[in-house]
Amino acid sequence: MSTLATNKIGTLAGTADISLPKTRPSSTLNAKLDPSGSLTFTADTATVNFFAAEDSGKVGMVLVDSQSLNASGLSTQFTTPDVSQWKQYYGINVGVFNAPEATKTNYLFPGNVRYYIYEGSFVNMGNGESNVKYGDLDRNASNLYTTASPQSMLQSYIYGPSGYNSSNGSGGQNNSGTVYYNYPSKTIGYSGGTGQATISQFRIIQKAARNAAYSTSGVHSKMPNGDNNAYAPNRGCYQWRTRQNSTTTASNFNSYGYPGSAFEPGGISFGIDSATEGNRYAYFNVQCYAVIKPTTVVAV
Amino acid sequence: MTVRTDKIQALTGSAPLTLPSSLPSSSKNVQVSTSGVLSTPNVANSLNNLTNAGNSGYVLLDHQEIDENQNYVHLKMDGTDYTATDIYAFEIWMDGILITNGGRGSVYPVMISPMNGDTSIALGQSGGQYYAGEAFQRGEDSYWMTGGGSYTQYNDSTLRDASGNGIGYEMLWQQVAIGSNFQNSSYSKSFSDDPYYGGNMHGSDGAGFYGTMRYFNGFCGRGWDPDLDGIYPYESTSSSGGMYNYQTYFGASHTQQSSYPSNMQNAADGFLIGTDSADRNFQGNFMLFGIPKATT
Repeated sequence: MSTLATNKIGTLAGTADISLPKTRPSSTLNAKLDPSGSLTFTADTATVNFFAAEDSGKVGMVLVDSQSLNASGLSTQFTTPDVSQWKQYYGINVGVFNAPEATKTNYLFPGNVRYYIYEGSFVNMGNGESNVKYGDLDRNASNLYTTASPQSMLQSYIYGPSGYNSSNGSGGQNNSGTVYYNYPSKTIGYSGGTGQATISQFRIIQKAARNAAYSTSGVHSKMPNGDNNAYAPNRGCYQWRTRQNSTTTASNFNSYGYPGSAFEPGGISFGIDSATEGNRYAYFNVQCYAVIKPTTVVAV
Repeated sequence: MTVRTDKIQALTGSAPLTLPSSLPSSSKNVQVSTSGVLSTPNVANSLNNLTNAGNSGYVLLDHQEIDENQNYVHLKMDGTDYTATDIYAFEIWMDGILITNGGRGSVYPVMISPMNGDTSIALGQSGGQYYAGEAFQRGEDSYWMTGGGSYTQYNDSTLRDASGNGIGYEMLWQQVAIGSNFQNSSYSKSFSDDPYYGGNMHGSDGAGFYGTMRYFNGFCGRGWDPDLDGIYPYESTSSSGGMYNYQTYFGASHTQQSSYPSNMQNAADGFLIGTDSADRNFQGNFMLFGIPKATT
């Protein structure tokens, strides 16, 4: 016959004893032991912020950050390089720096992220057209590009139908492919016009590479820049790559727009260079996901 | 409080309970082993699909990171929980680079075929049976959702399969290649503290092709969907063009016969991404999501 080894209770964590529940649960529940020695019966909850592959069981996609603003809009100030100068922006920073420490340690550690996806929307509650832009951040929410000198990047964009100022939305498209020198702040589309409550939606991919493999791209849908109720919404696609004739050497990364060994892309700042305009971009919301190297699940 | 030792004795038989030697750092479930050891182990909660009322939503079916040259990428359902006909829609998430054994800067085709096992089931391989088409939204040549279609869209068989044999495909784009077989480097090196490679990798080819696409599955009624981003390839060595912002493809069945051909009698269980030459290779990060049919 066994005996209850009550002497072992006193050895738990030095001075703490197990504190048993005073009542039985009404249904079968798991017992839980906490750091103070309390044994309780509770329903299980598990928060999982990633997708693992069905076949390998390894983690592939992780929820990094989720933010939403109220009617006050983009009001937080920060400074970012823009067209050869440092400029005040009003907006939010989204990225790995806002992820829980355990998530960063287990899955989003340096060198493990392949690309980030940002999905969001906002509404322009004001009166007038303006541009919401995004800039590239590193893992510490600092500007990925530390100089305000023009960066040489390739930009290509297309949006349509070009008749978004036409009553029927027809007319083809507009496009451009060119060398783009004002890299740090990239437009994800103007929104608004003379009417109020015009919405925009976007999806951006930011590759986390530190050499010429760095690239960002985005699609967005937005209401037209006019208040004619017959105007069609339009959709734009943008892509930015490091300069075509740059090579991945240590000497030219800054002038050709790729991050370099010391800087790993890890976030994006969404903002607008006017406090007044920022305030009218209400209910801005964005979710950030990371696709990572297949990584073993960590028990916690 | 009275400890009812008789209950414990009945529980364990001959073995006494052995308590943990330390308390957990946070609240954790208590487990009892067959030998009577009471513990609070760490638990690795995981998630490979969304579930509601017994029905699965998104499932991450396959995830491959390829860090050495491969002539093709075959995303497929390796797991045991689903078969091809369970999956009503797929999503492919890609971040790939194209590599050639020559110098960088040349443009080569990249193709995708839906697969059933190791067999291509691409539409567009013969005429008069079904319609296939494509649509583009791309910057270089100013297309906005324009394209073309025919009963025999992509009716050649130049995509190399795992054995090097030519098979059909449903989607094609051009991509600038990294040169010299990417020697002394790899996909993962771009994310490391030592990311430099040199003259055989530039911005146009280094970022490769990336993006997301959706594919509706089925025997005869299947095809690509333009809802997601599409693919961002780079099809030029020019600095003023070459970026196809978006490329997508529509496929739809249209039969004029009483029976469907063999490639319309099976659903897809994967996709083969490849090229038309043994001299080209791929590296990158590739994911295959599925949306299964409801079972309740």
